[in-house]
Amino acid sequence: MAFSKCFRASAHPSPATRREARRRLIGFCAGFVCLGFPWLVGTAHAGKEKRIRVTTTLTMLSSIAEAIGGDRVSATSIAAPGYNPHFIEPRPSDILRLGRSDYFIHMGLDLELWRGPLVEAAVNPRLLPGAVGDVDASVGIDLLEVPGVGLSRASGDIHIFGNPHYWLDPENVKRMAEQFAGRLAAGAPGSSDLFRENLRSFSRSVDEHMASWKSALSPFQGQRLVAYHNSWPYFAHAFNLRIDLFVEPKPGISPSGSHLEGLVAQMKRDEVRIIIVEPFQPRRIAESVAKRTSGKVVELWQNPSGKDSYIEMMDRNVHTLVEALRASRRGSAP
Amino acid sequence: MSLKSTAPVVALFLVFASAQAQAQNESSAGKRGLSSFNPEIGIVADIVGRASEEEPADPFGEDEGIDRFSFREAQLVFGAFVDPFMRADFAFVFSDRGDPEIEEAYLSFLALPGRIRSRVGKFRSKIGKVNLKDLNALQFVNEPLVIQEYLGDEGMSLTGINASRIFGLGPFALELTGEFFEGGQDVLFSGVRGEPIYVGHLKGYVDFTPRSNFEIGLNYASGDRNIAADGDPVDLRSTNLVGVDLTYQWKRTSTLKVRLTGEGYRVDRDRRSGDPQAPDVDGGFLNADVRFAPRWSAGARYDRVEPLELDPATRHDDRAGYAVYATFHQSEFAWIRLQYQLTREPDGFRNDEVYLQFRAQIGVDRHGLQ
Ligand SMILES: [Zn+2]
Repeated sequence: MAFSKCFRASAHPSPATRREARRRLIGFCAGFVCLGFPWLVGTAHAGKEKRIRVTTTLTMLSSIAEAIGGDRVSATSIAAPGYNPHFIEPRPSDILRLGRSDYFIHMGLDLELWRGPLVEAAVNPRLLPGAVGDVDASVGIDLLEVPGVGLSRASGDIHIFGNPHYWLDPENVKRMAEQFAGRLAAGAPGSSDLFRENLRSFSRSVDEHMASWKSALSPFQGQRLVAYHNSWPYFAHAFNLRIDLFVEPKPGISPSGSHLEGLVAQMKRDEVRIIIVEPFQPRRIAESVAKRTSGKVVELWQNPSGKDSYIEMMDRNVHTLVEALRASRRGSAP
Repeated sequence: MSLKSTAPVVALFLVFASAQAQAQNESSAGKRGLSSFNPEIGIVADIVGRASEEEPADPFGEDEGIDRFSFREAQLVFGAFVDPFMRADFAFVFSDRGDPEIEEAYLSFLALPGRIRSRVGKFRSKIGKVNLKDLNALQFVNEPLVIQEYLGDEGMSLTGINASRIFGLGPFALELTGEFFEGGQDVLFSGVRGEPIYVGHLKGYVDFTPRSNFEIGLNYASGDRNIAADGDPVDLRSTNLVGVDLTYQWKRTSTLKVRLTGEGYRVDRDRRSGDPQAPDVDGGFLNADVRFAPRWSAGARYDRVEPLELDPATRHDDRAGYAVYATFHQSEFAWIRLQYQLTREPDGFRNDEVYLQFRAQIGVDRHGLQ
């Protein structure tokens, strides 16, 4: 038996005694360093911070957590806004941060394909699936494009539980904020009034902006658009647009030449002129399609950059889109 | 069994039991999604064709794909939370050239105090970066020569226990890992089960910019090798492996990135006085890998290794390898790879090889984060 063997040396002196004794010493030292020292380093940090530490997968989620938590919360996110949220490679510093967090807020479903191993690596029992600090933002959201029975990756690599880009409908974001307020209050009952107040003002602000976004987009009701990836069905639903043509043949699959041919033909036939790309998508491919259809590529964001909030991001998205739609309407006018 | 020998086992039991119990009090987890038996399942198909100048020892035998097309691996992966404090993971490998094999089977403790991560069971040892990955998940078709030569054709995966902890130090993230295996590795070590192998690993990681990062790993493995002739009583001498691995990564987007990796190892063996055999040997590899388009990546690898069986009289006769490869990524889950490799053997033989690999994955990928 291995465990007993390595500690048996002194009971049965042999020529190998010295070697084994040295080994045992190495083992114990390694054990001490592994278990003891880092623990001390770790606990030295504990107890200093009183704010609730929230780590989110996307900047979108930290933006809402900050809006609800105010001063009581310090929120950081793992995925930089300019990268594809489906395929992020978490860094050791992210594991470290998650280990010290009180809450882990994520989009649920299969949005963050990289989430599972990250949470396990953090060794933070609060954040394991279903535990007190695990917040799945998709709870309570009415999903679109939920597939029927028998779906496989033949229908694409991702979006297998339904379309996970639900936060691009501001109504859903109000529901998410409501859940966050409840979950934060459960952990800090003393601040629940603050969270409720922040929730009220956040929802009010969303409602006000929603009215102006809707009126800005109202001249373009039912307008058809192309998107690189199928990120925009909730946005389309919220603002009565039709975004059902994609540069990707299926979510997560890079386009082939024949698929692009088909897309160009359909855009020409149906006079679709605008292609939505996100900052991390290969703009070159979208530009080549736009060139052949006298269309225009517009860049919209699904996650706020570090500097702006969710509302500011949506504001910019709506205005970018309205400008492009106006220009294309002028361009196509006789 | 003496009191002395059982004491460490009992102590270990008490540490784990009390730690897990404490975690249970702290987390008071809602059991949503944990109680039902629905393991994550993944299957990887790895099909490799190989054309080589090497003569097969037995043309009808099971030699690894010499001028043949083989189902190198069908890997079946299961994983599930046992309860809110533990996870179980299994990887089985089936192949058309051998018996099914348990590649990994381990329990992970997810709720130990002090954020210590621990595994018990059979798992890939934390030596360098390549050894941690499944053969089918590497950026090239085959293991670098140094890994094949010192850790075995499919790397080193043994039964034991490990503990690791990540901690921050200024801009660095450090990870310290200690592993204890019961032996059973016969490439570098004696292969005798019950003769322990210790592994220590220290990783340092730093983000240079939001787009680039650097990682260094220091590796140490210690055990015994048997120098007795066949039939003689076992005569064990200590064998140590020390190594360093370096990785630099620059990433513009998920589909535009550059990765430079290198690993170097030295084997230091205790000899009988006057024994000319088993000199100290070393080896390593360098790899550059570039994802330059949404669907394409390519790279090159340079290998050099002094074989463990190196003849001390002609000690500069090392094996060298030069490989170039290109990969077509059909999606994130399926790829096709072409690799050309030139290997110069110690006897001067030049072996040209061409590999063609088809690799597809269904379901979960358990090796996303190492
Ligand atoms: Zn998506």
